[in-house]
Amino acid sequence: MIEVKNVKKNYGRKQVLKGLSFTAEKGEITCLIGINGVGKTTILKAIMALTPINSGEILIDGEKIRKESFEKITFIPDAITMLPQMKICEAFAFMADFYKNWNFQRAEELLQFFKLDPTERIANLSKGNTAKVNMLLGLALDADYLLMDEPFSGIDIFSREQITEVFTSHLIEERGVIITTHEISDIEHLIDRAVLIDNGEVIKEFSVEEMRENEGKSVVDIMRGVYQR
Amino acid sequence: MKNYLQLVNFEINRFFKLYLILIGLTIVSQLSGAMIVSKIYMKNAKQMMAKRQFSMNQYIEEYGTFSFGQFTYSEWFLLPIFFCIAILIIYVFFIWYRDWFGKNTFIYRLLMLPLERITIYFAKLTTIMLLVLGLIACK
Repeated sequence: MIEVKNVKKNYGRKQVLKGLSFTAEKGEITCLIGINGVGKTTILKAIMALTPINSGEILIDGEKIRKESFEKITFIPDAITMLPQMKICEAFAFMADFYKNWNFQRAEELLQFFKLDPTERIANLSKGNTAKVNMLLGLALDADYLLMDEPFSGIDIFSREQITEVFTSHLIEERGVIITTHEISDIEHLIDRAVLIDNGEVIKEFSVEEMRENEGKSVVDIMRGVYQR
Repeated sequence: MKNYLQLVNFEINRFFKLYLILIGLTIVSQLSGAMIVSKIYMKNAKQMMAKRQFSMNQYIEEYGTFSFGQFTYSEWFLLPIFFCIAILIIYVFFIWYRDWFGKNTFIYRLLMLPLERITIYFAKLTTIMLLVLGLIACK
C-alpha cells in the first residue's frame, strides 16, 4: 500500500500541496483527478522522492522510500525519460543493466503489442509511439506499484486505445497503479478508486464501484458536484 | 560498485564522439605544429646563415639548437590545449544541465535507478576526471 500522509509542499511562497493525504492499494487502480496545476504531478514526484516535501510522510508498504524501493515502484512521467539519441533496444539494455527486475520477455511482448521497431531511435518516433515506449519502460519492470502521469495527454485516439487496453490486461493485474489525469472519460470504466484534488488538497476520495452501486453516480457526476459548486 | 562503473561507462560513451574529435584535433594540430615550427626555424636559420655568412656551428653557437621548448610556446601547441580546457570546463556544467533541462528530463531516470544517489554524482565527477587525465596523457 502507498500511504501519503498530510504532505505539504511549497514552491517558493506558493503552497502546492496543503496537507494532502490518501492511500493507494496494491491490485487497485487509483486515479488522482483534478484540473491542471492542482498538484497531481508534484505528488507523484514526491512519492518517488524526485522533489523534496516540506512536511508529512510517504510510505510504500510501510517503509520510507530508499534505493531498493525503486525495484518495487516505478514512475512513468508524461514525457519520456530516456536519451533521444538512444535506440529502443539501447534503452532496454540500459534498463537491464541497472534494474534487477527488468523483464525482457515482457518488454519483447509489449514491443510486439505496440508494434514498435527496437532499432528505431527515440528521437525519430511519433508522439504516440514515444508515449508507448515511455509506458513500456515502466511496464516491463516487475514492480508492485506503477505511477503514471497523464499517460493520454496529447496522443492520437488509436494510441490511446492501445494504452487503455494495457489497463485491462495481465500487465496491470495485481499491481497497484496511481494514475493522474484531467481527462477522466477515457479511463473511468477502468479505475477502482478516485481521489479528487483541488488546490493542493484532497476534496473527495471514493470507490468508483461503490459510488456507482450505492448512489448511481459516475466519476464525472461527482466531479460536476465537487468542482462546479 | 558495478553500477558505479556502468554509470561511468555510460557517461563516457555520451561524450566519446566529441572526445575523439578533441583528441584528433590535438594530435593533428600538435604534430603539424611541430613540423611547421621546426621548418620555420630551419628557414630562419638558413636565411641568417646566408645573410651573416655563418657556418651551421657558428649559427648554433650564436642562437642555439631548436628545442622542444620553442615549440611548446607556439600557438600550435597552446591553442588546442586551451580549446580542450574550454570544452571540458563547459562540459563540467553541461553534464548536469543537459540531464535536468530540455524535453527529456533524463535526470528522473537517473534518480529513479535503484542505487545511492551519490553514485550518480561520483560517476559524473569520475567521468570528468578521466576525460581530463586522458587528454593530458594524450599530450
